[in-house]
Amino acid sequence: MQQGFFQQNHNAKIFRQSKLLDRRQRAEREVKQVRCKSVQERFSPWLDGELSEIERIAVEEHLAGCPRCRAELKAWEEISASLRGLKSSVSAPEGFAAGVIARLETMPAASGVAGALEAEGLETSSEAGKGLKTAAKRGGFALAKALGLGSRWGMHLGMSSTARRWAASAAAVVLLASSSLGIAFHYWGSSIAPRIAGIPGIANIYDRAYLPPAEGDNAGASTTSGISGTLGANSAVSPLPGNGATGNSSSEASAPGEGGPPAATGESGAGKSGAAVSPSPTGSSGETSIAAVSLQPKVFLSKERVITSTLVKIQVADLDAAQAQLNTLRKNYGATSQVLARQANGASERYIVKLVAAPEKEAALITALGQLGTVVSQTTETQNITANFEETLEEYRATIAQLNSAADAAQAQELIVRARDLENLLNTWDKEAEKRVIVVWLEG
Amino acid sequence: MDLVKQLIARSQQNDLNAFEDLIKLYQDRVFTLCRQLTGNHADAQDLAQEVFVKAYYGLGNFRGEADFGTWLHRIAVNQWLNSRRKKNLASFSLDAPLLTEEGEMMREVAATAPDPEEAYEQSETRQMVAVALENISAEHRMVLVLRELNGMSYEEIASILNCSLGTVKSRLNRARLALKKEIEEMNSGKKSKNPAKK
Repeated sequence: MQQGFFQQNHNAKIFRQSKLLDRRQRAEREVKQVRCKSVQERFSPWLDGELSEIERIAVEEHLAGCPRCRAELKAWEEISASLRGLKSSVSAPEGFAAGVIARLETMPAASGVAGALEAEGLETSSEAGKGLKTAAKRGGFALAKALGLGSRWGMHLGMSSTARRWAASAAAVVLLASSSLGIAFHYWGSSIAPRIAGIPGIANIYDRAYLPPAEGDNAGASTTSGISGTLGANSAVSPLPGNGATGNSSSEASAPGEGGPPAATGESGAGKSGAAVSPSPTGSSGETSIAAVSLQPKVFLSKERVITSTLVKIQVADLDAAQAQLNTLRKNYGATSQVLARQANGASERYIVKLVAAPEKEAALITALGQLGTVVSQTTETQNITANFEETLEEYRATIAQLNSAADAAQAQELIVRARDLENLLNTWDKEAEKRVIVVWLEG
Repeated sequence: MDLVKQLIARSQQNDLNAFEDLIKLYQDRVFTLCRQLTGNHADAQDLAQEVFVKAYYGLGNFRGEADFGTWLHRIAVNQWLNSRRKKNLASFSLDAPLLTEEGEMMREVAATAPDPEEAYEQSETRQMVAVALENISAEHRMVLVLRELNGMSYEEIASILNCSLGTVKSRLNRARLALKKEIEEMNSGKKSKNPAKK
């Protein structure tokens, strides 16, 4: 019994000790967890560089001994980096300011309290118009969906007249941004454009394609010729949502309660093409007969085409001011322009625009551009695009032929977009071969 | 800056020409923020237009104490929150950008364009983050957009949101937690990788 008692006592002691140990371990674990929690609460200001020196050291010390927190912080950092990767700078569409002013012109003048009250009234009165705009947009997207087209095509349908050119432009930006100068964008064949579109950081071409070509650039309006014009004459086979999908549509212009022209439509090419191609974003998406239509490809002369392109990189003090000056210069020299990119990475900003000028004005324009700031580099390249042009022309013709024998509306829709983009690309090349291309890179 | 002050003063006298110049000076910045907040171009356009209309009518109250750009940002943020609240009453919006297997169209030319292969690898994560950003609450999204996408300081954010630095700090922390949780749920398959219908 005695032994048994001791034994029992001993066992009890061990049991108590083990419980004690267990409790201590748990306590340590809890302390650690509390510390982890407290450290993790500092991850957010850590990422922002907003921790005090003492806090920072404390966090660092903890991280050194805690793999779990290190992994956690890594996840936070990755998310933060991805977020910053979404950093963007979007240019307002051409004619945006004019659109706002046009709207304001139809409204009472702002003056003190009365003006503020009017503003409130305005918001209410424009609801009806907004409703219509939204309906138009929804119609556009719904249609794109109904046609079984993805967002790319949905967006494409919304503004496709310049999409191809933007694809080419975006390609140019990639080349330029990676400092490998080239005018290879002139060569980016049809098969490359969709691939470009899938590259992160570039697909804003579909955003940018919302932007109509700059004033004076007739290429954007070229959809009234060739296939697009033909299609425009027959909206039954062209249930394109047009700019309705972008909220920048002809239907918007007619929305009651919205005085003045819609913002951003202005005199834009997109506006024109939207009107010419399809005023009916809610048009039939069903099986539409396309047999009655026989489209003729636009005729391009067979000749040698050479594009001369100059990249001028200029360091400027004030990017906004330089951009404005550049625009004035462009007008003075009768050049057309197309914004390729406006980028900001926090430290610096850049604005890249493509100008197309008459050959006799090229030299003077480049000299004048030099006054915008300090010319960092200037390189000219000449490329013979004849073969590429012919190849694309062939593809364009084949697409039209395919379109003429398309079996269903969805397929036809896709082919229309493709053919129109190819046509625009050919138009651009054709035009640029007769002129001089100057890619101006302003670095602020 | 003097130019901006002059334009503001003239706009306050209902000079629309001056206000148009003012719009041109700020439109890209406002448009960028609107694009980031709304997530699509069409809504960004509507929002940006509303911002300038509101600004025009509110110019009488602008005393020049804050930076004009910050003031416009504040209008944009408030206007967007209001429109979101209204929108949330409706069941869902078709205005949200659509996603395909090819991914949502990327937003911008990257600040420093990576080479295509590297870019491809990054695309999925970035796309997921972009979608997650759309799915979290408007308040969380807003503060992340201002901080991460616009690189604003806590002070600037506090000024735009009209709140204290402490609030900015805690809101950012909560927003990041919410975003991380959203991404984790997307990764674990609990949530769709498409934007939520709001």
